[in-house]
Amino acid sequence: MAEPLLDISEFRMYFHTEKGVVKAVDGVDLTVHEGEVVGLVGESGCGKSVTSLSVMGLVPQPPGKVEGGSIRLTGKDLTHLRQREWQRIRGNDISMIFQEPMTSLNPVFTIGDQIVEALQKHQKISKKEAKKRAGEALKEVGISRKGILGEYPHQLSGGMRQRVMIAMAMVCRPKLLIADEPTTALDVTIQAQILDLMRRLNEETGTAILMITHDLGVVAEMCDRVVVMYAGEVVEKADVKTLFQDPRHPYTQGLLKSIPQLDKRFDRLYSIPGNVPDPRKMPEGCRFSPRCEFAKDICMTQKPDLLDLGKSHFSRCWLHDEKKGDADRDPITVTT
Amino acid sequence: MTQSQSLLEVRNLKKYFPIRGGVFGRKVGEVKAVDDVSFSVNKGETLGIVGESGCGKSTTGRAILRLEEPTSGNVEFEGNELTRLKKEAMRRMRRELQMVFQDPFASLNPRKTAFEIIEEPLKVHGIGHASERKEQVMELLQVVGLDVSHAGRYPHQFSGGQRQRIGIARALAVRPKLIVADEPVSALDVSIQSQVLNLLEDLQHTFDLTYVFIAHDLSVVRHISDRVGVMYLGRMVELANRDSLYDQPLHPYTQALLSAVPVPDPDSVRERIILSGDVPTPSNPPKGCAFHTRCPHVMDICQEVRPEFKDYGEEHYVACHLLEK
Repeated sequence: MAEPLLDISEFRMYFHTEKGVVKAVDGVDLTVHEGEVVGLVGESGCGKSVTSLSVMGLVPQPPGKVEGGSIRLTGKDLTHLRQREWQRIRGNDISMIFQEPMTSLNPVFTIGDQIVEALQKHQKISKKEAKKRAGEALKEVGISRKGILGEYPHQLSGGMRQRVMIAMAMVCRPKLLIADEPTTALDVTIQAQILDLMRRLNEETGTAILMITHDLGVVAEMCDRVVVMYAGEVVEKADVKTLFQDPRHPYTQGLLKSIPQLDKRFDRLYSIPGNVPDPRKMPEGCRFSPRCEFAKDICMTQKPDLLDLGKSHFSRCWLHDEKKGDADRDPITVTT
Repeated sequence: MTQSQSLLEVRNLKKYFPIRGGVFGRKVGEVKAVDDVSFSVNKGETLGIVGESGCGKSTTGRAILRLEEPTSGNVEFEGNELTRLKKEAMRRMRRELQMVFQDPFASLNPRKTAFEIIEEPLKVHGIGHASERKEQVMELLQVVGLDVSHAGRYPHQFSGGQRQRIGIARALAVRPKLIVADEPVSALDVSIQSQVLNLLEDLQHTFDLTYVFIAHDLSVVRHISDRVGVMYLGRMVELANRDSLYDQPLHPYTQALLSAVPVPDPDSVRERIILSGDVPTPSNPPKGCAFHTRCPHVMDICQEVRPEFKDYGEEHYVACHLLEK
């Protein structure tokens, strides 16, 4: 396969706080190829947002500190760039949309001003030309009404604001769009519109998307490949079909079993016991072991590696290790 | 459907919020948050109410408990007309009707310990002596799955799921018959969400509770409810037995809503109805059927006449002109 567009390897980002070191991201490996849609899933506090912010160079350092690993964009390491260099990459090569479009748009500038600013910051074009491009960009995301360029963010609905954000993010034709929970704040019917739009832009422009979400339904509909994170680590990676049909890590299995589904009925939902660990007091060994029903002695003491299960399916679990874990207790069978 | 006794009857409930403007703060309009909604809740069942933001589902829940005074309409609980009760009588009545709120961060007093929070409703209603109350609170903590030794902790020392358990224990303290749960799991992570849903179901069996479960997540509502009502722009557009609503939705809005939910199965092929546009503002709702501006099957009559909320067989209520043909 060709060189990946984005290649995050062994990446660690710790936060040094007064109360101790928070290992927010502690060993993340993931790749995004050109034109691909990759989902990054996990529950709150698993480090998915810090990972995405690190790709954009938006984690303030200090308190954050890169403790190891690399983030490469078409071969170039981004972890030690200076602010000036970041300016050239953000917007042009990578751009990002956030969960709450109201707080990411400036309330005192018009929609037109904000898109023009983004364009002029990154490309040498005249204001007139930029304005024309801004209008086109908005048309592309389905806002064609007249006068939109002169409107302020508060005059728009949540769905429209997210469209504006997408227009702004896409206006310089980035190679990679990072979408951090882009539809979480939206209603289902509006979410369907936005997902539809993102899928269309991905197909038409070839912009790759790294989709950060907690909604496995969104992942199933949008993504080609999925990366599951738990407590700062990648626990499983696979293409979307494999992940949903043959999840191997006990956490992924538990997660899939615990969501109520529209077309399937269970009398009782499965639930993963316990809570996500405190990031300052991570468990020894496998971080999921205190909540894992298959946990054995080795899981409590030694950290498992991300094991290759073949066909680009990876899982971080001792149960897959035939030498150290008993293979007959491999939790392959999912009872849903 | 079994014909059981109805515990709660809501008839023609309306809640309009005034919009004030101008120098003298005169009323210049009104937001029709809940606009003529009727339904009943049977004893021991869970009625789910779904809808998108601004559809009036929360206001409906709050108006039942008179946390918002209804503008008009009747709310009858076990034969008592709640809307006519005096303040003190309503306060006593709240022993029977309790509420669980969405945000476990905002709905618990940060200066009180878990023990004090759960004890408070017992104190307010003058139940038991200090020692009896202590016993009860400890029992409640166990019932909702919290560690008794954590009773002295403050809300910020608990996780989101644990906080929601405190909120549930507080609602349970006075042994109510009906609990209105407004988005009780939407602030929680998936793995914690299923824990709380299971807890709610267990409690329903143990204490013979009736729930009004308000949520925007259609999958969660399907899981927990016996009957489901769908609201749009202050009105109830469809109300039916859970399975008939999800398997054979009759209202075009319900159909679109259900088709829009992303399903966690990459192989599922479904026809998706993507609605155009946004929900109109409730301060100026469309004439006729509130949904006609986005409805794929809109007819002339829909723009003029508000459709009646009628039973189309087996207690499947729908408000749509399409079905009247």
